[in-house]
Amino acid sequence: MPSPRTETVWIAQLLRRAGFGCTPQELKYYKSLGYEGTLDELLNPKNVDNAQLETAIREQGFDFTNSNDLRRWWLYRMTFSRRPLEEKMTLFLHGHFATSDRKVRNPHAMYLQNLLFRKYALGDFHQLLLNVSKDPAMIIWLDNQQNRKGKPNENYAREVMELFTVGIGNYGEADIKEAAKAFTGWQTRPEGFFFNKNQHDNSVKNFLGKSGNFNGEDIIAILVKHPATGRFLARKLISFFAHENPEKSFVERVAGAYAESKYSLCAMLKVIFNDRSFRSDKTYHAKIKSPAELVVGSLKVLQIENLDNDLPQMMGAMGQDLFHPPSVKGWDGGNAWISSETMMERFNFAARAVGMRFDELSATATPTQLVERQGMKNSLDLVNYFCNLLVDGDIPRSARDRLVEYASFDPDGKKVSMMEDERNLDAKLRGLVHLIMTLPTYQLT
Amino acid sequence: MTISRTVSRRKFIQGGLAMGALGLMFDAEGLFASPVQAAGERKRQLVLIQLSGGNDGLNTVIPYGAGAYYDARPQIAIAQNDVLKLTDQLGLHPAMSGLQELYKRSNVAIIEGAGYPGANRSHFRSIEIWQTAEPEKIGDTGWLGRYLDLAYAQKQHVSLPAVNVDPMLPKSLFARKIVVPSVHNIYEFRFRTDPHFRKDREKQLAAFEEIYRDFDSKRPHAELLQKAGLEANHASEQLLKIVKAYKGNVKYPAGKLGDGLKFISQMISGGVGAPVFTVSLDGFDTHANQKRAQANLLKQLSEGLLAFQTDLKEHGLDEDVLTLVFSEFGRRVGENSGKGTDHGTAEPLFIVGSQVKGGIYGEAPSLTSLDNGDLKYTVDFRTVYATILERWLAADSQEILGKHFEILPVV
Repeated sequence: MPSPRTETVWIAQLLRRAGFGCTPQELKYYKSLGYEGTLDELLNPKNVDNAQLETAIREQGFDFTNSNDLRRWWLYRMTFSRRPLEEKMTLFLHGHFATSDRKVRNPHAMYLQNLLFRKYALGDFHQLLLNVSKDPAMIIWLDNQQNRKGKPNENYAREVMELFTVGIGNYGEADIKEAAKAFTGWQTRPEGFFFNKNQHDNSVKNFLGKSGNFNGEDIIAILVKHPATGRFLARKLISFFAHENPEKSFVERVAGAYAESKYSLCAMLKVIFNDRSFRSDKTYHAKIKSPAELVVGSLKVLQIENLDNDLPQMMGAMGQDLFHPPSVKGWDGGNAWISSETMMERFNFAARAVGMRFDELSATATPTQLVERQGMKNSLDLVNYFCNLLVDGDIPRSARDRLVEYASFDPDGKKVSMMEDERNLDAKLRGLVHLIMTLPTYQLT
Repeated sequence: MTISRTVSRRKFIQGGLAMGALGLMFDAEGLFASPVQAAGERKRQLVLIQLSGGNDGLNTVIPYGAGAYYDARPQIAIAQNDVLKLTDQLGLHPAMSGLQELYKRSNVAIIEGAGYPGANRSHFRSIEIWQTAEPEKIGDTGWLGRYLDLAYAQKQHVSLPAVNVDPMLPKSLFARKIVVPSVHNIYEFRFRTDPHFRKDREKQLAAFEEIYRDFDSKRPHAELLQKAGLEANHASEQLLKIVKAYKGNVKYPAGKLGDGLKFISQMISGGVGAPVFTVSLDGFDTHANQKRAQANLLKQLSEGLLAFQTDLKEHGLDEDVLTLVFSEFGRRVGENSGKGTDHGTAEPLFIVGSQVKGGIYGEAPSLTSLDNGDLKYTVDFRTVYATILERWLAADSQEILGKHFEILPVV
């Protein structure tokens, strides 16, 4: 299906992938930058002033020792940050180095870990991995606190290879045992990371064909340089940001950027978003939105500015409970987001969203004003307007016809040509937006 | 169409109470009328309980007669006096008195030493191997998914071919044709609309149904979404009726597993007619401070199984149901320095039901002849699957498992 799409469509897609979608005004702004300009701004978050967000967050007075506040804080950032890729990469890293407060039981440590992810979101993977390995929440999560000389605990050593760097098939059980020794004594204390010399194993380790008195830093350096790491990260980043099952050559290009740039995540992302396949049907509406993308994207496009306290729980019911990934493997994503239950939760989130106050309908314009301003004359106009806004108009003809039919009845079930009564129009617009948000295409990004 | 609208100043308002008036009052009334499926003829059903994280089998079915067990676990071994004895060598964890009671009634078969060649110690790969029954290559369908595809080969549409009582579908139920619904909280599982407009609800649901039915899109995941969306609405109507009709007095243990087993019992007595139900209990990855964590989990499991069997019996359905309990792997023989255990290999399985020939099957792996600190498995887990497929579900195990496995006389 080759389809000539406008630059606006690709900018909007870039913002859905490299961020969480956008409000109509934000889209207008990014359109003025063009695709290249938008990408440049996304890849260089430090150049974007985010002071307004930080001030607003201070005013909110979130309590970072409270697990629900922590989740609300992050959702707030995702919705209102002017550095969307920084937040999106932070979410990627939370899934990559998946740590759950269910075991850590220390929201503040989870908060600090989240700051660490944000700090290196577009930075150097070597530094990131080193800091993650010394991160108190991670040390508790993967039991390195119990990893001692003569009594190694292999949990961190296994996952650092299986899930964080080279991936399965690039090491053996013996490498795990040896790496575990190198991480002995890496502990956490209330004040932070602590290297417990007395518990560190100083013996010679044989690791991935090398041998020496390796410590954790040495193991990390070996893993970061390993060619499998670039490919493993490349595949994961492409699947997360562009499309699943990427072609080998695409993976190699992105892995190449990793090696050439000496492990820069920013360099990898630049290759992904500039790839030809990113602006093609291979990527367009080809991935299922994660609950974070669905929820934040809906808040943004509908310009809902009062975030309900329980939105993080609703996301959890859809399968993505922030700070509580299902396992150290993070969220599988893709098809795994979808079950009858999570679909129902998506439908009911849509019901909730249209029940909230949103600008697109009420704050700056009454439904009647909106209808007038957009020059909408009949139910077809209403359907077209919201289908374009919410799903780029990407729905089958039959669905559009059926939506028009729905919109041609007033809420009491009487057929009308155009709703005059404000209350009826309001109810009907909400019903229509709810229906469009339940469509299969709305679940796609 | 370009969207032009006045720009409003972005407001930052404390979330929470400002929820729109409609949102507070959403309710799920006016469901489609749909008859509950008739109970029909007696039908055998399988319940699969997954213990996620890798349950430590040696502290579950305890070789309390072996000195090597106590040597390997100076800090976390269960003292002989505390073990709930089954034989002069083996006994259950002290938190499992419910299971012991079922064992005494000859309703429990324990299969010792279950595993597979080339044990994988990754949670994700090993659980996938158990779920797909394919240790050699990465399979994309589950063993029960393949069973369902065969069992429903002649049917056009089945609304509840099996039910998974967890938020996420396990790979055991991945099938080629059949889509299995996952429902873990039935009370949240209903399509909400604005309660002020009853008539509009009907219009909205009718539009939803027709749009979904005819949704013809070329997008890669559109068909999956279409099936899951339709399935969600249909299953919701049917299951709500069933749960409302259930009557029972048995008390299930608090928690996810107890809730799940109760819901499964409601579905079985409500005549859902599905041959397979799945549920899981998480938290068995006990690398540190294992004793208390595992005791709590095993207590839930044991009490849950007893409540479930009692409930089924009260409804006269206990002879129709078989339950299999498994985990992705057992754990190391030796404890680690954090009073926990690391990922291991072979594990004991439980098969529970009134039709089970109770007892201990298979050979407990040696505690002294180890493979790099790990137990050597004695029974291929696919033997147990083959047994259940052939003897319980009357299915062709060779077609589903790809080769022939021995059948155990447990049922």
